[in-house]
Amino acid sequence: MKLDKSLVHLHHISSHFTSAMYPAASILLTIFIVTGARRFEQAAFYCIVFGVLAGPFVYASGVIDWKNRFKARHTRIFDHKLVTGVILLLLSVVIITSRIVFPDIAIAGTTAGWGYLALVYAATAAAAYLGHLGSKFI
Amino acid sequence: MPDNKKLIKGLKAKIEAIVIAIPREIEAYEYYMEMAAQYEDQASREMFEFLAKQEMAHKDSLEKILTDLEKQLEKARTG
Repeated sequence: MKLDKSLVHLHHISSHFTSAMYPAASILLTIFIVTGARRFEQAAFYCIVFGVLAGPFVYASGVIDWKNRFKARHTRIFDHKLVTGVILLLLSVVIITSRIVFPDIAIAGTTAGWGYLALVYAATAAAAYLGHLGSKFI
Repeated sequence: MPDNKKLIKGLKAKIEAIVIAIPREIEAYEYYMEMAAQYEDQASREMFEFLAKQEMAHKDSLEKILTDLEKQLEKARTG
């Protein structure tokens, strides 16, 4: 009967951390596009890196909590959370890999630059949607 | 939308609401039991234990409703 509260807390803490990193990355990258100041682009990249580093904690604690508290039932919310979590991870891997391979990818005005910006915005949208779904459990 | 699809969608939404609600009842039960343990006077302890029992009764009711809804969903899918 006793719920594993520490696991629930771990999921809340790690998911809030991740949720904060992606919007911050979007804002910083937008500032870079507007101002051209390279440090904002670098900060955006590190935000994504830290968001991804928290990812395994978010995903593992979420899945274990889903199995414990919700008996691993497949409903629309849980299915959307699982799929969107994978999409976010894939987007993040693509963002980080492309930035490592092409350090100047984010430079404005190029097709690759706009693509990189779109990927960061898409990752932010995915993180926001995950947060929206999570809010239904509070 | 055909009637059966609408029925299945409605049942799924209800099941989801109940699935989310059950752990909340368990958490409320545990919260009241923790509160009951914190008080030494009998009146306070009995009050929190009474509230805890109410939450447990809610949980039992929700589980019965969930079982019924799942049967309805199965019937709608196969029928």
